[in-house]
Amino acid sequence: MRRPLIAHPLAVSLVLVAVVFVVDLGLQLGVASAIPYTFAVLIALHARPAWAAPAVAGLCGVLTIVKLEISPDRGTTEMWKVLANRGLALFSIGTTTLLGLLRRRAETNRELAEERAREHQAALAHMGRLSMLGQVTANLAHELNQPLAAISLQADVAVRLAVLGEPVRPELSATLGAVAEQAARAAGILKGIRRMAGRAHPGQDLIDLNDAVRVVVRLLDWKVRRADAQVELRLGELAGQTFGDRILIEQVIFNLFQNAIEALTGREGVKIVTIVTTETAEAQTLSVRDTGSGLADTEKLFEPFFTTKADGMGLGLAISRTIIEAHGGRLWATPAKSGGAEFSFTLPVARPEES
Amino acid sequence: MEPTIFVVDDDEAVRRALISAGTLLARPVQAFASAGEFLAAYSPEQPGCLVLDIRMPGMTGLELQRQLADNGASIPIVMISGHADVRTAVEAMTFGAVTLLEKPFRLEELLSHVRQALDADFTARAAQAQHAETGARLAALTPKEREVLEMIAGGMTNREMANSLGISVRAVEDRRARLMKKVNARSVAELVQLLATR
Repeated sequence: MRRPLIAHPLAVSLVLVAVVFVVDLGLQLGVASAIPYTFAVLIALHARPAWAAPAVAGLCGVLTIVKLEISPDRGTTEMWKVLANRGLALFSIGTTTLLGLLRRRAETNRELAEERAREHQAALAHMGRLSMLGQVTANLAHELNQPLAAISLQADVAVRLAVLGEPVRPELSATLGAVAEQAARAAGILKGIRRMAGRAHPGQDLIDLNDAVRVVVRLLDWKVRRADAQVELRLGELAGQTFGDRILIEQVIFNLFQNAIEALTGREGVKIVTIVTTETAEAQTLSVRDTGSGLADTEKLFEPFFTTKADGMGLGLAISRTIIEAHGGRLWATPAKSGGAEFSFTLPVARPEES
Repeated sequence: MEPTIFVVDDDEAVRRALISAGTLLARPVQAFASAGEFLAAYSPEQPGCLVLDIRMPGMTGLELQRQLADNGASIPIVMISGHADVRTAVEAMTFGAVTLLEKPFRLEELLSHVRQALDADFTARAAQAQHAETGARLAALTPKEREVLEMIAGGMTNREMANSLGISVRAVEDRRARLMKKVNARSVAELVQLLATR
């Protein structure tokens, strides 16, 4: 709600009504009293309770008529004119109230809608952060798992070698045994974290890659126009069925497409992003190709927190790869023939006997 | 050719740990950083087993497994994976992996599965070799000997064969003896078994 113009609209409005009534009684104003009465109604419209304005309007109407009873002195004015003036006053009070109420309702609706939109946006952002946190955790757990596997295995081997050695040093094999035990313990903790991070199980929607591409292209249309780039869609016919979490897959396409546009922003010359979808019996492939400056290293890119952007976190590609691999596919980068970069991912096509 | 333990894992630290572990079995160990490098170096005649990481950039472990199956290479595979979900495990097993180990695993687990894989490969290759030898021996028979062989397998006596072929019982016995010698069988039972393994 906006800050009200007047601190206590209902009280102010009632005071105004009283003042106008006293003045109306004392003077022979005729229709002129209607004008300050409508002000009172307008002020009452700002009061929080919805009944305030109609109540004040009713009061004003009653007082307009009551004045005739209390102070019938009408001077030289003819009776029909007095009645007509009072009627006009009632009409203007009524109209003001009606229009004011209608406007008030429209405003309330708009405010409600705005509030709902804000809430929705906040929820989306929150979910995005949560899902990102989950993905980062899963990614981190996986990355840590590799060195841990090496430590655990090497420690076990060392225990064996220590026993084989001459002379046997019991302290050595005990120490190495402790290393192996602790590595196994750390691995157990990681496994728990991975399980928790993976609990929000991705959905199993039927995914139409071409459809997802169109959704993402529409979402980022403004960015394409700002970069003054062109988008070329070469969407093949996809007959096979792929399953997964549609939102997550769209997120991956979004990341790849956004990267491609950003690679073109501020560059001279040809600026084209090409999105290609193809299909084999085993998998559907989507490639996003740009005509930017290309890639230095096609593997380092996927490491978490690796970034070439000033304001980047370096998580987009790492998360995208985690998402695609969780769907049984692959995500990789190659230098494009056009000189830029090309990012591709596959999604396995469900075999009929599985579904 | 000596049975070799092949290792394919893109993570250098894990690869080195697998080499140390494999060396404990007193077998040659060959390690590769990618599926492509392994495919380029490996020939299906090479006995051994393969310790294979599932998650790798480029060709994944499961894809390499399929490629090997397509090439007719039946090397037993011990799959290792950082995150073994049921679907992956089922797929790996369907295509003939010996087992799927979830990283990190203990040395004992790994060694016992690698030993099993080596044994499986040895058994499979021995059976294959015998199969090939049997085929060669049977192929060396003359058409007349083959005729007799089929009759023996059909359960006919020497007399019945002699009547059927229009030769003397003595000639049948001669052919029969030559045949037994050629295929290196000592009894009819062995002969029939030989035919059955074809």
